[in-house]
Amino acid sequence: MGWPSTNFYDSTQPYLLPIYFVVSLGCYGLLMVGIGLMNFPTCPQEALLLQKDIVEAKEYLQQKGVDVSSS
Amino acid sequence: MDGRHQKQKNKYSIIVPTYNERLNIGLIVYLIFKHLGDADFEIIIVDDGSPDGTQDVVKQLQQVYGEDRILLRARPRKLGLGTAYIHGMKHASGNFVVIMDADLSHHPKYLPNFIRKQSETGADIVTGTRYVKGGGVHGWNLMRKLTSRGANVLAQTLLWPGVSDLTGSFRLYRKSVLEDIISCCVSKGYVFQMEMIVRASRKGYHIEEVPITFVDRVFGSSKLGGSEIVEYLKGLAYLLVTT
Repeated sequence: MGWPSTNFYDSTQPYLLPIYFVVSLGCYGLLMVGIGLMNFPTCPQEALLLQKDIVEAKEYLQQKGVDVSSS
Repeated sequence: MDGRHQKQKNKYSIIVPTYNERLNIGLIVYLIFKHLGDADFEIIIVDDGSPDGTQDVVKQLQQVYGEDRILLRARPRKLGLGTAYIHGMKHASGNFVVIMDADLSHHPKYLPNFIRKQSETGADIVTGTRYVKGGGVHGWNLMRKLTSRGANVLAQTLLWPGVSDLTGSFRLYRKSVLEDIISCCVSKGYVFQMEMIVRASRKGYHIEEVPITFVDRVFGSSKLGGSEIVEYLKGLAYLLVTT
């Protein structure tokens, strides 16, 4: 007829628990990465503001005799 | 203690490690002076023997802003970021130390926010974070974001550090706190930054966060390859077993 049901469960359950744990942890990690990726804050306007600051700084430094050339 | 502390005027030593930052160093210095006009501060530039003439530009900046405000503490060659901070700190006369990059990815306009947050909370460390409302990044492609988010989730899960941006290197430290933490950090690269903040958290130091934006390098280039990821994972494992 086959293995008794109690033996079947006894022999397989201990091995499934760590597998469940690892799989759950992996799913949790992927979920967190996905959520974080969707909520990743970006700031494209900051790049424009930075460029303005760079132009301003270069003008001031050139007046003061600091070498800001790209050569 | 608190009363005496309040009477003391705070001085900020801003340590900027440089390597081939000739195009950026003038811009960063100008912006620091623009945004920190009323604070008592000095800028300590730790240059690792840049062959592109960075030190020449620093000397020109000293003529403009004064040699008491801009200190050039050069080193003969690339010796690593941690030792650059130690080297800079030896010459720091302020009671607070700010660590920031020279490539304009850290904008000096956030320095007043760091100082205000520290003053309001009495924190030992104020760290810039890109991952909360008000913060952000620009110039990162999907792979860069995925790598960054994955690395952060992994570190958060394993280390529970209590701060949201582990690898950011834009921070304000109380000088005594920085001396204490840096003496027991051995990692390199941005794992070093992670080790710093994790060890600070474990030692019970008061850490506050300020949102910052990170615009990727304007001049020059940076790289992120497989070996970087391996180094990161090794650093993570090291921190897991030593803290």
